[in-house]
Amino acid sequence: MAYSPSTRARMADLTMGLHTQTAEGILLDAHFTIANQTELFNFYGRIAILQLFIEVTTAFAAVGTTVQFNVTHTVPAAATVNAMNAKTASCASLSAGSRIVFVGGIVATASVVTAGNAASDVTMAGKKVIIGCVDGAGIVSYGTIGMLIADGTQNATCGATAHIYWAAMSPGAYVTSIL
Amino acid sequence: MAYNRPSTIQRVSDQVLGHHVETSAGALPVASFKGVANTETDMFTVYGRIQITQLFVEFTAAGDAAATQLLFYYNGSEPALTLVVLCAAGASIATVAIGQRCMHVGGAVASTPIVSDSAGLSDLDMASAYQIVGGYATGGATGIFTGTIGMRATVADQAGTIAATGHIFYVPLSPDAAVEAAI
Repeated sequence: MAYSPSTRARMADLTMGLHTQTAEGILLDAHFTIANQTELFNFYGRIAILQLFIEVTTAFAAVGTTVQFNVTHTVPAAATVNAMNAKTASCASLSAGSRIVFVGGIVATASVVTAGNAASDVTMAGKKVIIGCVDGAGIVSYGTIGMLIADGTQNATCGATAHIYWAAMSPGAYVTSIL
Repeated sequence: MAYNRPSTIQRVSDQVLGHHVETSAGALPVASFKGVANTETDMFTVYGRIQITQLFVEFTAAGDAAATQLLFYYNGSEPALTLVVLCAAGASIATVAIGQRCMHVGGAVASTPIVSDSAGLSDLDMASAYQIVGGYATGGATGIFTGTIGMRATVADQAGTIAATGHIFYVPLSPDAAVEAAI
């Protein structure tokens, strides 16, 4: 059966979760500088992450930049940065359409630079990483999801967009884009 | 598409994750974490057959240094069934912080729950290793099964002010299947 675009979008939301993204191509070479921490998304409450990735919009230079996703809880643990995974392999020379994919699982798992132009061979595969909490007094956690750069600084124009697919696990939970 | 209405976000999330039921906030007090006596606390009442998509306790007050371990069980009352564990006892919950979780990861009952990586960050969940509990026998004497899902503490006693809230996400697999908080 053929569906209208709006119906397809609603069905996708029900299958993939709610989609939030940064502005298109907002992540530039300055963000991919060694030791630079860039906050991508705000979260409020308890959420399940179903997909999280960065999609390249302008090709990367031949520099061995690596990327690690992390979460910073402002509440309950003030400004504590926790790794969500291990850093990727080199992101050198990524072409437009390539993705840097958070694959979930134990935090020692490395995120994956996908196989080729616009084709991702690895995803979270049904795993969900839960962030945020609600304490006994009903105080709701909030914080940010970000990326930390290591091993190489992109030294020419590049661009990327960050995407997250998520679902609320506590009343009123939500995600917003920072950039 | 971006949604702004919390109610819409909640309905979409219900579709993606299943129905959410939780105990009262902090309803699991220190008395529920007495592991020497293998204390069992019923958290949820289950009617019919359900698929568990997430099951965890989230700590709302920090634990002490006692190496208490937790497991989850299903205890059928209608029909009367022998209590079955849904998993093996997990890692120690010693010194857990507010916001950490003890996550049921599903799969084989020999699997062990995971104490989450840090406050507010759980890196492992049930993924697609869902479990089915309860039952529904149409035309028989039993009809809709009734039972409870609970938490058993083992090994050691917490003695401080630890507290936690139980959470379950589920999908009904039989007519009129439902879950209610028991505490």
